[in-house]
Amino acid sequence: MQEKSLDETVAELQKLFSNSPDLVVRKLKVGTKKAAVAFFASATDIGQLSLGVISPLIDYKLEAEPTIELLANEIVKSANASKIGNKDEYIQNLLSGQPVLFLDGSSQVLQFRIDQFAGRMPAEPPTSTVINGPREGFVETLEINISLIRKRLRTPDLAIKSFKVGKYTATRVCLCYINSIADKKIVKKLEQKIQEIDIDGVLDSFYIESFLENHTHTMFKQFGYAEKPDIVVGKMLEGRIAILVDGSPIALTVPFVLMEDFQNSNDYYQKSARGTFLRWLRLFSTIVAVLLPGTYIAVVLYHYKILPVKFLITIVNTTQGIPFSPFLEMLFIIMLFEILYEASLRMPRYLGMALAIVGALILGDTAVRAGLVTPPAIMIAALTGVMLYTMPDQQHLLSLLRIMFAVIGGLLGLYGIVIGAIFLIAYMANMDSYGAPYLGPFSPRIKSDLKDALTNSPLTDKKTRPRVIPNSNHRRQKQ
Amino acid sequence: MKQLNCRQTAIISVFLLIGMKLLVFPSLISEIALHDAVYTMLFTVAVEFAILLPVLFVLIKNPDRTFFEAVAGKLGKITAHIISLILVLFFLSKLVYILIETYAFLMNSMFYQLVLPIFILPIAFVSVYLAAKGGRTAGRTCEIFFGLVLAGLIITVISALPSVNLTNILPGFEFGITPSLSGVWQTMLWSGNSLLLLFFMGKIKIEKGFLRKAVIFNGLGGLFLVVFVLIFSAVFDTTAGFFKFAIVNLTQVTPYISDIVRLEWLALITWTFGLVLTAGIILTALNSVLVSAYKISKPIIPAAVLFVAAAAAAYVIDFNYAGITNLFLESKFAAIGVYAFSLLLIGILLVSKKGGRKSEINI
Repeated sequence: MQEKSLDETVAELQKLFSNSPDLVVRKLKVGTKKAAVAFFASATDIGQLSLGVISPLIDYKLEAEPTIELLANEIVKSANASKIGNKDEYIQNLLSGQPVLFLDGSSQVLQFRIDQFAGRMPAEPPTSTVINGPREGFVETLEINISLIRKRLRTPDLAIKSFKVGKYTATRVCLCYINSIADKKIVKKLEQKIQEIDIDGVLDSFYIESFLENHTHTMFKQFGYAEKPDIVVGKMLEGRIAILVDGSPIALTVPFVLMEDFQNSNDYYQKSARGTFLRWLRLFSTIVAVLLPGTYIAVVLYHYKILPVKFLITIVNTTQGIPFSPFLEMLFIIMLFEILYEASLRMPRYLGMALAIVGALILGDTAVRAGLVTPPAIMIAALTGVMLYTMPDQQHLLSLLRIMFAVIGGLLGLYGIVIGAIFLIAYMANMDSYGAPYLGPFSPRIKSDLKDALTNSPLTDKKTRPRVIPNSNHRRQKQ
Repeated sequence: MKQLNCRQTAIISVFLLIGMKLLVFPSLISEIALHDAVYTMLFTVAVEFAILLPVLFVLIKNPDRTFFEAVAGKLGKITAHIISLILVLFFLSKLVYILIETYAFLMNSMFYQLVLPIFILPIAFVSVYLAAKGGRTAGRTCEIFFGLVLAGLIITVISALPSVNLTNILPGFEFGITPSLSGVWQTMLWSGNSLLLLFFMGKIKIEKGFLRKAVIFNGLGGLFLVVFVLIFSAVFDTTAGFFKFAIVNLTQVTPYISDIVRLEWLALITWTFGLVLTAGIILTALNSVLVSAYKISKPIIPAAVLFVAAAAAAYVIDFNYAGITNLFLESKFAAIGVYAFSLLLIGILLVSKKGGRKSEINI
């Protein structure tokens, strides 16, 4: 760094941040030399700065001429002080809330990691509530999230690689993995892809996900989402790599297979039989949620002879006098459901109950009474709407698929449903996520992985890590 | 790049084994062999195995070379091109058959009326997609649906059991063995689909137990076919020949049509999966050899061309299952010729010292 007088450096800094009124430059005299501490009042722990840095500097009474080394090693009391000679680097750190200490005549500066941004404390995430098991959840602060992981992984094998992404946001992105388990090729590929990201800003982990996906134009997710450290650590122990983004409480995990979304952290904190039952229930609910509206339309429109006589009579009785075809009727109800869902997300929380009453009770009931829709169609749309939430991370995708199959069923009948189902599976079979086949361990079938797929075998039976996830250490416990 | 594992290959071979034999075929052999149709099916399965085993051996012997490369290595590129084209054209006829049979199946089970474009476009879409994506996607898709199709078929058979009268198929060989053998001979073109596995040569990950797995899967598939025809014959007796759509007809005799579920419909729906997947597998195999032989960078193009050709041929026959059945019956000599030639080719690939690298796996 080119040597400049302290006044010049400070003036330059103030000019650079002339639009930032929260920049504070505190000028000091340290022994015989002039010094200055610059920091952003909005991003720095001022208490720590005063006690650990400024007070010791003011109190400095020794005769010896102060140097950066002397200040770093003997004077300041901050636990985390580092010497930096690169202007860009200390400016970047300053923006991240780290105060910078300039000493007149020194080409280096001293910087302290005492940043403090507003944030919340770990709490149970509303999207991942559990009955048993840990309740801590990630927050928007990267350090806290890393500490939550480190709390559970006390091993030097825990590797954390940090990157800065975003021209304006300089968001910290961390790759976390267990060195002796994770596949090095995947780590390298992720590192390379993260370094290649050229974007103005990263506001959430989803931004990063978009750049790391293998298939960009697909509606299928290719990363696991986790808002709880126990889930992330569980996945890291299986060989996955976690991606944490500063400012986002959602950690991404990769490689991802579809089966992961049928699993739930609760499954591992209760008896295996219950976990197995719940996974089958989720699979059943997912299939029914996606296919039932389309199948209902197909049956009523084209294949009514499929229905048992008593059921057929019920359907015929309820559909008499309805102005819409079953196809339009079902689409109308599903779209109504989607609108209610979207509105309920955006509405103030205190209006939620009112919306539920207006939407579900008044609208539905009135529509039936007015003869616009039939009770079976409402029942099917409502039932499948609820079933979508048995796989909450895929709810948006399933919702779209439900509409697509409803359209296909209306146009092509059960033949269309069959074709649609084959295409859907073929499409997913063609996908992979960093070497993991999307439909694994069912296709390709990996026998050893089936112990933790739709069945949840007791922990003592899971001797190996999933083969479907590339990893470099297969053994999990003594065989 | 390896696209298929042992299990997927075995499942594909089962689809190829049973795909053309559950709708019109049982009635056809019943017409020829009367109540000895079950023996015809038994001999047909034996013929299938006689073709399948050499195919499996040649796949094991050439784990890293495609069909075209293997043939070109022995007989030269021009010959390999000609052989590939002839085989593709021959097996395209099977795709035509599957298309017509699927249409007949849908018309007789699900729809009173099914407009041709409504039928052809969706199956074209999914078949061409599978073929364009290659063996890996087709294999994985078949692996997922295999259990479902199997369950549907087993339900069909079980639900028909109460209507079975075993005296209908007795005594066996009442008119000697000739009708049974005649059934096999006349219906030659319905067999030999396992030769399509040759087109996946070099793309199969040959692992330990490949042969065992393929034989077990096909053995069980063959056993199912025999049981299916046995039940079909035992239910319909000498009238079996008049019931042209075996799997549909069998579901109609079930006494289990209850007030709550219609299991037989589930069976029909699952067999629709079976037929569409069989069409997809055949197209994928044909496309695979064309892509490899002509180094085509966009596999969707030959896949689409092949499908259009098959659909056009089916259209010429007016999607008439009786028409294509007669055509197939009359073309048995062509079938024998192609099978004999294919087996000779397999022999060349098997015995030649210059063959592909020896498999490192102990089968």
